[in-house]
Amino acid sequence: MKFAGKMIALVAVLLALSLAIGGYSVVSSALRADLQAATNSAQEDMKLFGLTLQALCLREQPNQLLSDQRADEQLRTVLRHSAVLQTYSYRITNAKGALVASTRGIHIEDEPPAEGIVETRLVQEKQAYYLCTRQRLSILDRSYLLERSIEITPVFDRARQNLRTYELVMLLILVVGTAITTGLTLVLTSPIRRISRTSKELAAGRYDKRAQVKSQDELGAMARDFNAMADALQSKIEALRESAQRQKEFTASFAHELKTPLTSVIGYADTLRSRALPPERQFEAANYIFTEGKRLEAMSFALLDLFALDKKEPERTLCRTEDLAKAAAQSAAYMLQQSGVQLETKVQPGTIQAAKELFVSLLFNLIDNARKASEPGQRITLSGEAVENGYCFRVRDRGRGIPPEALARITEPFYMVDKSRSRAQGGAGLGLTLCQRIAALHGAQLEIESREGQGTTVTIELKGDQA
Amino acid sequence: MIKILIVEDEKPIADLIDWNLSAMGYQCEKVYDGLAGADLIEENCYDLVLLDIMLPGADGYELLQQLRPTGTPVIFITAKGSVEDRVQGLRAGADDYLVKPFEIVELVARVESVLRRAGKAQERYAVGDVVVDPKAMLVTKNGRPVTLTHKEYELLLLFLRNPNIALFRDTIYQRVWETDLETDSRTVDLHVQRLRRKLGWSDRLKAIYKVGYRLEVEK
Repeated sequence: MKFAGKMIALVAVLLALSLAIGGYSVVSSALRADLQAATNSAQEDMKLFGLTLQALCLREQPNQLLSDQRADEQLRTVLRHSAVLQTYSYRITNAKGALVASTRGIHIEDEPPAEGIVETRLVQEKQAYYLCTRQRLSILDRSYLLERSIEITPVFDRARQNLRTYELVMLLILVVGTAITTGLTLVLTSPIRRISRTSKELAAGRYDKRAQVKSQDELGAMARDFNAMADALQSKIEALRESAQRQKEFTASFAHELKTPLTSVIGYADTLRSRALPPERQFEAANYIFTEGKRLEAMSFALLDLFALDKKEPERTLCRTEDLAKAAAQSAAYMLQQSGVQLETKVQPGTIQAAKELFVSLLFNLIDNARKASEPGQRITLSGEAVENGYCFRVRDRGRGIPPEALARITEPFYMVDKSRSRAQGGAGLGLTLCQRIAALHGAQLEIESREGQGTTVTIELKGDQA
Repeated sequence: MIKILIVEDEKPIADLIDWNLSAMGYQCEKVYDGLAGADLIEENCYDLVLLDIMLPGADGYELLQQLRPTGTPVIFITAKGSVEDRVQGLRAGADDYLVKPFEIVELVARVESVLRRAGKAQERYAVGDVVVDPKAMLVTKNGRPVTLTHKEYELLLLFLRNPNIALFRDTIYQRVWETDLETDSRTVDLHVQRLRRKLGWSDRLKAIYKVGYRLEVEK
């Protein structure tokens, strides 16, 4: 059963119960009061009747003793002649239990009350209610039992009437009350339903859905918490998706980059073993196998480096920036000489927290990239300077530059601006990816500025590491 | 002569395909990027186009859309080898799909099969006094029919389609029997010997020591 349903049922039951109890108690107390009044008046009446009878008999009394029979006669005469008494209904029996006089009315059989007590009793006969009063009274020196009965059915009728009216009113209140409760409950529980609907949508994968609840109460707070949870969930899932997407792209590029040289190696080897080729073709085929094999080698080394970086956080120690720059310059010296490119080093003394070998390899890679972009005779500058709260390395060349549309993608794995050129230089398209990872390990980013035909500057700013 | 266009941005692979198809007597043209490929397709008419999918300029699918109205058969040659990629390629209208890395024999077989389906292949092979009509599945020597088993016939076709090429035992087994060769199986040798006997080809079907066989054909 839904919460709203429970709420409505509960309120309806409580309402009905309280109305019933309240209604019956009101009706019955009214009835009780009516009965009490009727009883009082019946008793008064009875007393009056008795006193009147006594007084009239006394007046008629001849100062002599009468026989029982005469006394009864006397009483009957008094009753017959008194205009007042004739309006009463009554039943009078003498001490022996014989009926002396009677008008209509009902009679109670059991033991009469003692003298001086006016007894009142409610009697139901068929559909009618009677209030019977009895008293033993001494008249003409004899004891008589006076009985009277008054029909009070209207009192009960009125009570029944009241009850019926009350039932109607109760029904009306119940219906209206339930309707109001239903409305209120629906309004109050609508935030819950909205949250529930939203969570279903979230579960179905629509992670941008939010519960629209404006109220300031606990439900509003719950909706806000729920939305905060959904925000966290959404950003987490987007991050996961992005990472999965990156992984997928990486795998696809990797497969492509692996299969392309493999195709050449296998294809040329297959051709060489199957076909008699002229000597210059043989040389060409062997050369292709060699260069494509080298390409595979370069790629596997770069990949191994990348995977090693992912495996564990390297240990960082305090390094002198001049030493780092010097080590990188030394590694690059041979290639630079071969390409006829000059390296100029302007590194201010300083210390940084760095994983030494990785950082040297980062600088070396950047110098090597600069070399590849440069023409013979051009100059590359490796500079380093202390900046506010950190240290900044910069590698600058005056070479070919990077086209603006390629700049954003340059650190993607396997991305190459000029495939054939890059291949010819033994590139696998992983150098800058590696550099960026190393920089990220040092809490820094590669900032690449480039203008086509004018050169490229790569900046790495290390924060808070300066001693 | 059958003209084939190769659109492949990797020069080594383009050269590899060119060498091998040229040796089979096809006339090949190579182009290394999509836009140049589109220009060539616009200007010339080819019997078959071999397309790489990831191309600079315009990718293989775009070139395929350009080619479809001309009815020129197309084979995708690509590193993308997943089932979805193949299905996507074939749905797009390619006639065949060759995944890198591939073997030369497979490349040749697929080129021939696509050309055959397009009705552009060589109708019959004639080597010396032996004539083979693949359409009729008929082999004659001096005009008289020769009876061959199914595997012998497949083996003969494989040699005819790769003349003057050393076919390795494992390759032969893979292409004719379509499973991998068991190490000391003599099946291939026995079939080659029967072909030699039935066709009188003891000189033409040269054994290559420890490796396989080659069909020698005068150029």
